[in-house]
Amino acid sequence: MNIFHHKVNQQEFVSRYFSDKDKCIRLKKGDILLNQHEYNRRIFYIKQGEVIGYLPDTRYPEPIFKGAPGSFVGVYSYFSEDHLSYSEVVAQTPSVVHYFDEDPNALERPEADEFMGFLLNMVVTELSARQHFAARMAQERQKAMNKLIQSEKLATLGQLSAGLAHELNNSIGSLSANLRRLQEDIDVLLIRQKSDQVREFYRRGLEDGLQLSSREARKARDEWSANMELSHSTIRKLTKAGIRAGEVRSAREAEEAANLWNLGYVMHDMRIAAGQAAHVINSIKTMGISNQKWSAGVNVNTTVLEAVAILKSMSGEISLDLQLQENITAIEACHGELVQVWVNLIKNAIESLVQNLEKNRKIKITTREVDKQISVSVEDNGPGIAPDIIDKIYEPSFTTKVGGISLGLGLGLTIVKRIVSEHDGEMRVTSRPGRTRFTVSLPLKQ
Amino acid sequence: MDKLYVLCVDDQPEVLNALENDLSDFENYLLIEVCDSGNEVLELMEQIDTEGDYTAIVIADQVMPGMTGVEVLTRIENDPRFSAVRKILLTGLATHQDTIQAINSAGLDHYIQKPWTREILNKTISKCLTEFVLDKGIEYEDLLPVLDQPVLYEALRKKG
Repeated sequence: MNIFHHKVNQQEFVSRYFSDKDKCIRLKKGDILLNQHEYNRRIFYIKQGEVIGYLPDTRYPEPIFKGAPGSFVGVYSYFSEDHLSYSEVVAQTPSVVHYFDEDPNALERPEADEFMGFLLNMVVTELSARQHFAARMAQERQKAMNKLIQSEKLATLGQLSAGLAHELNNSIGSLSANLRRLQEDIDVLLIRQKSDQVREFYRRGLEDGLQLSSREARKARDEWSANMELSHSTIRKLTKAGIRAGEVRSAREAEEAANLWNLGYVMHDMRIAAGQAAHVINSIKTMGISNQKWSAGVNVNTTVLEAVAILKSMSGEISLDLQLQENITAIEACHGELVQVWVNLIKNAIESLVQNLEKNRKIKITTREVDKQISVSVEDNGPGIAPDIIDKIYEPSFTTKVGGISLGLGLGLTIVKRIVSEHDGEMRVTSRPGRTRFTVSLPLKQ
Repeated sequence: MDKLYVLCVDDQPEVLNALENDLSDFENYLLIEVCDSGNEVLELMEQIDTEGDYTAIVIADQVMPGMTGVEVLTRIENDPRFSAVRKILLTGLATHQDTIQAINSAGLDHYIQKPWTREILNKTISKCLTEFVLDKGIEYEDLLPVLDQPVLYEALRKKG
C-alpha cells in the first residue's frame, strides 16, 4: 500500500488546513499551549517561534521534544483514544500557532484520503524528529555526566591533597624553623671563635654546597694523598668540597677544614630539602579548590609575560621565541591561574629540552586571536612525547621526570587541565620528535 | 690486607652525602665510595677489580636517569667476577614490577626503603659484609667489630 499516494506538498497542505485566522493562537514566552493531561482534539502547526514539550511531573523536568517553525504538535493526543496530552507544551519564544480541530472522518473522499495520507507522513516525520531529539538529549546528558564524574574525581583528589598539604606543611614548617635555629646556634657555639680561614670553609659548605662531582672528586684525591698523612674519609670530604692542598698548612688544619665544610654542607642540604618539600606541598595545594580572583579585562599576553619572567632562571641557554599578537582582546579570567597554566606548560617544555641535552634548544610561545577565541601555544623542539603515553599525560601522578631534577608529583598537567576547563577553554597536544606543541584555546565571552 | 669497598650510587648528591655520613661507623674498616650514575659505579668496580681489591657491597637507588638501579644491579649480577658482591636497592619509589625484576634478574640481597634509619642501614651493611667475606673466604679478623655476629656464628657452626 502506498500511503503517500496522494502527493501534496506541505506548503499546500498547511495553507489548506492550517491557515484559518480564527484558529490561530499567539503565545508569549512562557505561555502554555497544552497542559499535561489536558483533553485535546487539535493538531497545532508552529508557524513562528519555538515551543518545548516537558513532563512537568518528573523531578527534573527536561525537554522531551522541540517544536520549531514547520513542525506539528499535539499529534499524540489528537490521535490517541483518550485525547489526553502526555506533556506540557510551553512557548520558549513569542510564537504563532495555527490549529486544525475537525474530525478527519467528517471529510469527504478523496479529500479524506489525502488528508490522512499527509497526516501519516507528518506523524512519521514528527516521530523521527522526536527520536533524534531524545537521542541528542541522552548524548548531552552522558557528556555532562562524564564531565561531572571527572570534576568530582578532581575535587576528591583536591580535598585529599589539601589535607595532606596541611599536615605536611606543619612538619616542614617546624623542620625549617628549627633548622634556622640550629644554624644560628652552630654559628655562635662553634664557628665564631674559629679563624677567618676556617670559618670560610664552613661558609662554603653552607652556601655553595657540593663543588665537585663524585668522579671529579676521586680524581682530585691524588693531590692530597701525596701531601699529607690523612684518613680516607677526610680526603673524601676535602675533595668533595673542592678544597685545594695549598689552602691548608697542616694535616690538623685539613681535617678541621673538611669537617667544618661537611657541617656546612649538611646544613645546606637540609635547607634545600626543606625548600623542595615546601615546593611539593605548594603544588599539591594548587590541586585543591582555587582561591584566586576572577576579573574581566585580563590580558592574556600579560599573563604569558609573567610566566616567562617567573621561569627566567630556569630557561638558561634555551632561546625563548615570543610571538604575541598585538592588541589582543581582554577576557574574563583568573589572572593568577592563567599564569600558572603557562608556567606549567613552559616548564614542561624546558624540562623536556634540558633532560635530553638537545642542541639549538628552542621554545616558541605564540598568542593569537581568531574566531572569538584566544589561542596560546607552547612549542618545543625536544624529543616529543611517545605515542603510547600521550593519552596519559593529564592523569595525576603521571610523570616521566626522573631523579631529583624536578619535584611536583606530576600534577602539572592535571592542574593545567582543570584551570583550562574552568575557563571553558580547550587543550590540544600534538607531538613528534623535534616538535611538541600544547595549545590552549580560550573563548572570548560576550 | 686487600681493600674492601662499599659503593653507593644515587643521582642526588644530598642522598649520597647522607649515606656517607651514616656509614661513617665503617670508615676504619672499609672504603666507602659514592657515584652519581650507574656507569660511574660500573667503571669504578672495574678499576677496583684491576687493582686486586674487592667491591663487597653496592647500594643503588632505583630511580636515576640513564641506568636505573635494577639495571645496574643486573649488570653486576651477570658478571661472574662480581658474583659474591652483595646488592642492595635503596629506594622510595619502586613499582611492583621493578621489585619483581630486582629479585628475579638482579639477584637482590636486600631492599631498603627511603627514608632509611641509620640503625637499619648499619645492620644491613654488617650482614651483607659478613656474607661477602665468608663467601670469598677473606680473612676477617680485622673486620670483627663491624661483622654480624649471629651470621658469623651460624656459618662457623655449619662448618663444624
